[in-house]
Amino acid sequence: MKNKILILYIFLIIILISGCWDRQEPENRAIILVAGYDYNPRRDLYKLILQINNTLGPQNEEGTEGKPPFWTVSAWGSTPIKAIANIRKKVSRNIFYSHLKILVISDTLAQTKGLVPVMDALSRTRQSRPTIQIAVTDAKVEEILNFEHPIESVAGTGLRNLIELTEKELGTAITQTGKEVLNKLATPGIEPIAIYLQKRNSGSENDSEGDLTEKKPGVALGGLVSFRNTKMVGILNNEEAQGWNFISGQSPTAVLNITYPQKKDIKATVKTKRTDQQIIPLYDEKLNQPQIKIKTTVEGKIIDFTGPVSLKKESKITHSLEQRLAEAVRNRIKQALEKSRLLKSDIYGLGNSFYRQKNKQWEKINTNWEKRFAELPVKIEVKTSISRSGMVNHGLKKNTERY
Amino acid sequence: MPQEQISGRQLWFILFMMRSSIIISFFPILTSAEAGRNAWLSGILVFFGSEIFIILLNSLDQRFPGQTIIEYSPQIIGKIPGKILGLLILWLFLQISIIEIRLYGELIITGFLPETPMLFIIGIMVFASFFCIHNGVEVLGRTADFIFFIFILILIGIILTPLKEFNINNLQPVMAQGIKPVLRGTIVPLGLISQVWVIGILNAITKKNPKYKYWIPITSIGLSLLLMTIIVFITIGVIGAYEGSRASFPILTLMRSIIFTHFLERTEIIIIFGWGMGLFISVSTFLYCGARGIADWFNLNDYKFLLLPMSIIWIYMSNYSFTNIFTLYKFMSPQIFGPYGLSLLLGPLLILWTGYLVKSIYRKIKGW
Repeated sequence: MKNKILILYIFLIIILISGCWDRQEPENRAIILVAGYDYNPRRDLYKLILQINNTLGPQNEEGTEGKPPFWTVSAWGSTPIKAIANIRKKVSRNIFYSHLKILVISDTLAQTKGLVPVMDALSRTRQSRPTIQIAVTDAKVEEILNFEHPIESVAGTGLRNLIELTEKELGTAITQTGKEVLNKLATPGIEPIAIYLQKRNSGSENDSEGDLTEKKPGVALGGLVSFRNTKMVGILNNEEAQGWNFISGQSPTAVLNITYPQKKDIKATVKTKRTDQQIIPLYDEKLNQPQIKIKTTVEGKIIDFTGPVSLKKESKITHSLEQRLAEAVRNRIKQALEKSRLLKSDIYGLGNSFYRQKNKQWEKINTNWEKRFAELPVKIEVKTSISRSGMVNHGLKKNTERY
Repeated sequence: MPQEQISGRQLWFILFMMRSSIIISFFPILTSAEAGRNAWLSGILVFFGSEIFIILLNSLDQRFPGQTIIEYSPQIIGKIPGKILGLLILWLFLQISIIEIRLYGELIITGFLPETPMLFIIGIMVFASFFCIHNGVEVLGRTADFIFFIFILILIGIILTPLKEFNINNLQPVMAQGIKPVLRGTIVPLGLISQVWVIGILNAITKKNPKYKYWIPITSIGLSLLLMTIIVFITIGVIGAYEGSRASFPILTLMRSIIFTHFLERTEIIIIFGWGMGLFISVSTFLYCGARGIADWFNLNDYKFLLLPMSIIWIYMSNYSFTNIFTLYKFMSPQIFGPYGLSLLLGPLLILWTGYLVKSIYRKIKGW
């Protein structure tokens, strides 16, 4: 009897474990790496643009010209999710959003409807993840998605690498995941930001920058997009984005130029490495006046001199270089702050620092924080140290001293 | 009644996993009230509050070795009130377990298997527990031994992997709205402590080891509550208080929003894996305690024939007693579950202790 039951068990296992009735084969999936949303304010319609990765095997092998590496397809809908439903009619495979890396939002959508419709769909659906990078473009979303990245097979990975590396090595761009945007949308005293994707016009005869092989336009990163009350209000350019990074400390790296002391024609290039920053909220009870102190400590290393210099020991010159670096950093911070004040968008979380540390005073000032932010006195304290000078110390010049 | 025993270690593991599994799923401390970024403070308060309950319950239970709470409550407060009290506790076991199973089903459907019928997910889990308990409570003990280390590894994973994205700014300001929201946040988690009535049954079948026996429930549930506080702390720090509290399943959202060392994503399935195992222990425990309780209530010799009908009733109830997830959330809100769970915890405990004290004083006066 027992053996019979055992055999029955084994048969059941064979039948039950061999496969699911609801299975999803990878070859029947359309994998999305980049998606975009556009908006038509006149008709109140959202447009979803998907870039589907072509999984039809390796291209250009065995002498056959393969199909293009990706296919861009779009559909309109009255809500973001409705657009997803409508795109169903056009794609022959099961659309799979779990690998989505970047979501590109058009500036029209960001300005008129703001982040909420798209971000809510993002946080509610099962396949999308909060690790998606959020980007805004003022070019056409289709165009941004369609640009080929010559050394990448797929635009999605190319874009993502571009953003991450630029942030890491230059600090002129930022990465901003859905998680961070959602958190900033819900936190008092801080406004969300997003990656800014720009169309790079190049390839014309006069402008010989950019893609020189095929002379095609492409994508470039142009700073960051600033929001106010969930809606896009403006763009901070590369230098201002560096300023944002110095205040927030997200990416400590920036490549800055300073002039060499005493010799105006020599430029030194400094790469900042490590920064440490503090936003200190101060409140003058008598005047009822909030005030902010930004303390930044920057460590840099010299990576280039354009002329002969002598630099080995600690001296007036090294101190002067440090001060000049501090000035350069302070300028970046000031630039960024000025722009944000113009846009009335507190993307640094200065108000949030009041909310966190001086909560009682925040209750008094939070009602018209945007206005107050535009007039907020900010003290900037920058401490710098140039810690090393690369593989050599002196600049290149004829050796006149006797060694 | 068949002579069954689990060891003290196994009791420790069972209580720990039973308490932690509902925490991982539903995270009442963060989702049930508006404590928001101060939810971890509620966690600390819940820790102290529950320890008091557990000490009260446990020290009462130690005075009746080898007897379940269903058996000794008539001895304390008289036959009929004792039986009614026992029924109340059995009702609580039923209710908490169907809530837990339902939550598990909801999570699996929301997060992983949207096409699978709820009945199937719930049925599989309950029948797994049924087979376990049908083979005796020792099987439960040994499974607990086996699962515990996987479970604790997963808990450590939940704590360690998000640490890189932890942002202390999300936790400030501390208690900006005063202590009230923090206290409100403790209500539902404290109500859920009423789970610990299973001690009243499990203590009776634990091997006698008087030196440590007293400390087992206190340390095990204490540790699980401390871990809960740490996990709340990390969840708020990583995904923010508002995102955490609006999430249907905060831990799921937490694990979905991290990329560990640049390439390791989608770790949430491991968490659900661990939670499934914890839930299995939890459901099996409640199934055993329910069946054993009913058997004691009717003075039956065996409880095993009760298991199959019970499982079927459980599957039916957890599938049909909540029409949707909103009814479930409404039931778990501080306004409803708070007074309900707390009264089911405190009421019987106070009645039993008063009865016990009155009786012992009476005995002293009488000179027995």
